[in-house]
Amino acid sequence: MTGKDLFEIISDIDDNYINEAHEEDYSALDASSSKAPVSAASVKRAKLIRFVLPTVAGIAAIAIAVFGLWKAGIIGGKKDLIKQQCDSAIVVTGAIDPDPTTPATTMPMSTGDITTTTEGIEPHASAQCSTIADFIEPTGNETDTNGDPIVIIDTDVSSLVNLTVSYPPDVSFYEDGSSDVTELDVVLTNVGDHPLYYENEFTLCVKNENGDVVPVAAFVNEGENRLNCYVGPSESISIILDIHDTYSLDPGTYLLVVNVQYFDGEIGDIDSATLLEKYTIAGEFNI
Amino acid sequence: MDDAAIVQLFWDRSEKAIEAVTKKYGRFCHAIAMNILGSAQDAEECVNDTYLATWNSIPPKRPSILPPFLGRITRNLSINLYKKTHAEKRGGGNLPLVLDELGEVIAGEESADSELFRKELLEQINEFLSELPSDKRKIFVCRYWYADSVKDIAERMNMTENNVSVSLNRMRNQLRTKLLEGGLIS
Repeated sequence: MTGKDLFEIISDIDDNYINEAHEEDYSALDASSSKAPVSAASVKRAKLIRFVLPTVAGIAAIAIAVFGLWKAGIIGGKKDLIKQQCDSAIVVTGAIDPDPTTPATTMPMSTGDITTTTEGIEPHASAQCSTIADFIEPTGNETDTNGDPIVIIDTDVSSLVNLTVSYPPDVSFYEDGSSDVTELDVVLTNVGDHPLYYENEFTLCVKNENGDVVPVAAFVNEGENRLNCYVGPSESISIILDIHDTYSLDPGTYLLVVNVQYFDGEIGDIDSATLLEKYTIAGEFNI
Repeated sequence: MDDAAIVQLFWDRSEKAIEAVTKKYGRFCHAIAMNILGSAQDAEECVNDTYLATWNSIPPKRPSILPPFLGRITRNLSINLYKKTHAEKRGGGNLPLVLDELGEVIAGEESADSELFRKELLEQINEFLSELPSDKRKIFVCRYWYADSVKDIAERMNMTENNVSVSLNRMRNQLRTKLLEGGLIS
């Protein structure tokens, strides 16, 4: 029996599956077809942000930068733009080694055999969206590969912005406990009345056994025009964070952190707009 | 024109049926043939044969969903033409790679001659597809039914080519496991 035989047998699969796979092609050709219904908070567009794997030095750089930003008062709670650098987080980006081939101890390679498969489960959606209102002083060496602990204060901002994180449902887990999650699907919803801008960097943190939050990776959309990184009022944006296939995330509790800012003014005219509020928000999810 | 009206034109033996189906599904059928054959000329020939075969099939048939009906005819005609031309030369669009990938799933099996075996295999594949999440199922069907390239699937699904390849590899392994557990392959 050959692949050709199987290809011929697959020819007779259920019509619905054939229809489903290319449905948009011929529905687009049908002039009478109507557009799909759009929800009130419509998903504006999907963006792909590639994963930049941090090296040991990169992780340490994140920790230093996060601590530095905290010390400078740049992140955490409501802030005034005049006293801050809007693109301060880019400092973190620049400090990360963009070489995705360098292994990091916190992201083991998925070399084990698949022992269990959790196919068919629903994608996990985060239930929390909190501001990072404060950090505690580093307890150890600032350049430690585990980074500096962050304390998450559950300040409710759900009336302004929601951040949900999910991953594909057919995740497999390996003998070493790692998983083959290759992407995270993020939906940022602007519930407020003003344009919401977000920074081009998402930081993935893991909660360790002590409950400390440790930054382990950063997702950077290099070259993206900052003016494109906005979500209009009552709109959502879907962002795919692409994890390098060679690496996998261990099961655990994670936080995805991003800086967002509300402006009063027209979308796309950020230079003349007035900053209203700025938050560092985090969406929590489990793998 | 909706599909029911097109099917009715076939039943009325109106030549406008061919015109309507060409206008609405010509590109769709051509894409399937092109994926398999890799030759615009051969694909065009298959699409024309598809219209003829459809004309000869409706009536008596009255397909409820027209695209899979047309697509299946195009696909089968394309496979036949592929077999014919493949004996003479290497080629065939995306098909050689697709066949190699599917060959991994049933590697080592001797024969699929038995109609009963083919039927059981088809049932298992349908069951496997029903268990997949919609987006994964689309990827699988795009690749192994439509013979779409990985690049095209990545664009369609808004994914990277690498992610599509990983997903396909994972699904092939899952299908093989299912067929093994079902005793259809050993």
